[in-house]
Amino acid sequence: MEKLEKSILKNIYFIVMLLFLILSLYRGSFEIVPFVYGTLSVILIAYGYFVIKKYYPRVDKYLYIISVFIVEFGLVMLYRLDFQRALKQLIWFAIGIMLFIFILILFPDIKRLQKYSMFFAIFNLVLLTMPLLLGREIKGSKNWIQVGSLSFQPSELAKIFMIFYLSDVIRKIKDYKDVLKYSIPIVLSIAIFVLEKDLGSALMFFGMFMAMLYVGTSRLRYILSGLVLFVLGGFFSYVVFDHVKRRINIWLNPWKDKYGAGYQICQSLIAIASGGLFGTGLAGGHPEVIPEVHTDFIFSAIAEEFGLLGAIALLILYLLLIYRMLRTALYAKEDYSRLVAVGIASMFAFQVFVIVGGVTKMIPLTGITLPFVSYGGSSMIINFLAIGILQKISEVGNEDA
Amino acid sequence: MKEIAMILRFVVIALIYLVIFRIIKIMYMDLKGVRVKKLKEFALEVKGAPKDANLGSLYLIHKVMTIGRNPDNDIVIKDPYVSGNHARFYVKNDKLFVEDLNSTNGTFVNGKRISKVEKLQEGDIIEIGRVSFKVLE
Repeated sequence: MEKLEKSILKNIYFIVMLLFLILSLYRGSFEIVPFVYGTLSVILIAYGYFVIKKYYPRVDKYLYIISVFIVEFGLVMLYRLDFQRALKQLIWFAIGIMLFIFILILFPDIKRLQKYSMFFAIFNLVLLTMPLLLGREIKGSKNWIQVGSLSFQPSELAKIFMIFYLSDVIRKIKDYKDVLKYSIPIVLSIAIFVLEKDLGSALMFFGMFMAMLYVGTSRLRYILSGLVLFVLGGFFSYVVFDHVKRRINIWLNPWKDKYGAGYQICQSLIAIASGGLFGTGLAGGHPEVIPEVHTDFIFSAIAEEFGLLGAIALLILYLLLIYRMLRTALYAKEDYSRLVAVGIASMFAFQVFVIVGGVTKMIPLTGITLPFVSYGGSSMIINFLAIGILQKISEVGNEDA
Repeated sequence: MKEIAMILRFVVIALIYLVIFRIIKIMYMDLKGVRVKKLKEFALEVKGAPKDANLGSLYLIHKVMTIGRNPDNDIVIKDPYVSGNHARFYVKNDKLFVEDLNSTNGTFVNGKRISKVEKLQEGDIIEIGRVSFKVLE
């Protein structure tokens, strides 16, 4: 088994180096810098794997292997788009792996966090209101905090806090009254998101809440009433808020205003279409014309240069990652860790769905990051934090196996 | 140069799918319930006992094993030098640990009294009261 893992990792290293080779070939001249960059990223992966294998042989290593494979897609793409950002992203990746190892070593048994659920709920709301007071609007959403030259997105951390809060309270739900009582922090968070014009996060919080509620209580009634409220709330915000209306109208017909409001989504669709089945090859296309291509639209860039096949491969990897997370939930020993695992799995699932659906014009576009791929420190760190927590749960779960 | 890159691009996509296929295959094996790696097991062999009655007996440690004078322990030693709940052995991440549960007369590993938790290796001698054990893998 260990042999298989190692040989899969070696395949991944080979693919990474090959991708950087293609990149330098396309640019016409043979450069050394891409190889140094690729080697550094491979060393990081190998180091992380070494630590897990040595000190935690019982944890689910595929969570790590699949995650870093997805990260490599992002690193290669960012390198091709913007070297400066790619360097920063590599540093964030290193910090992410360090954090992941720290969590494995230092994080207490997840069960102990159960007592602090009220703290998590309050801190979640504090984090979300911070940008409203301190933040400034970047790219049309007011969900950033700036400290010096670093900007930070509190909603990323708030997701994890909310999962911890929900995992504790959902087990206590007995009837409708409980659902209403415990969902107050969630409703408040979603309201804050709508005010901050961060609709993607609002959708994600709602999706996570519904998924965890269903797994925790297995009552279809709660979910149906949730969906009814969602439709009502969506309609209400369409009528009341201008930015919601604008988003929906762009989604319905982006071509009407293809140089204005619909510019992003039109460019994204053109890029995806020009990729075809096999893609234009790395550095062969022109994804740089899409606005925000390194964060929200990175999936379009991948679809253009790796083609439909490459984009589907990435989606399959996400699918496998989420399957692996749900498997961790199945093997978890008690309900609290199980719900945390389900929460994190649904967080990833909804995040991928919202952004990939958005850039392919399946659902209205809302800007959130593609986990592990998009450029951005807070997103990368939180994703590794989430994987670390799951790894911890899988360690406890596997001991019994 | 560009021609090579054009060909390599197909190779990369094929390789990516190969890796995905291999990962899926392993996960499929996992679904079928193939236990790939067995849990490591440890045992304790009785080396010295006041009455020589149990000399040479083996005790397998699966996950957790407690030792003491009280009858609810996994190994019960009826010896006045042994505390009611004396010590606990457990396996974590394929390593065996012994934990002293605040016993009166202490738990000794290779002649040294341990304060709380101690990692054990094959061949270590553990003394509890007047009984001594040897660690086997």
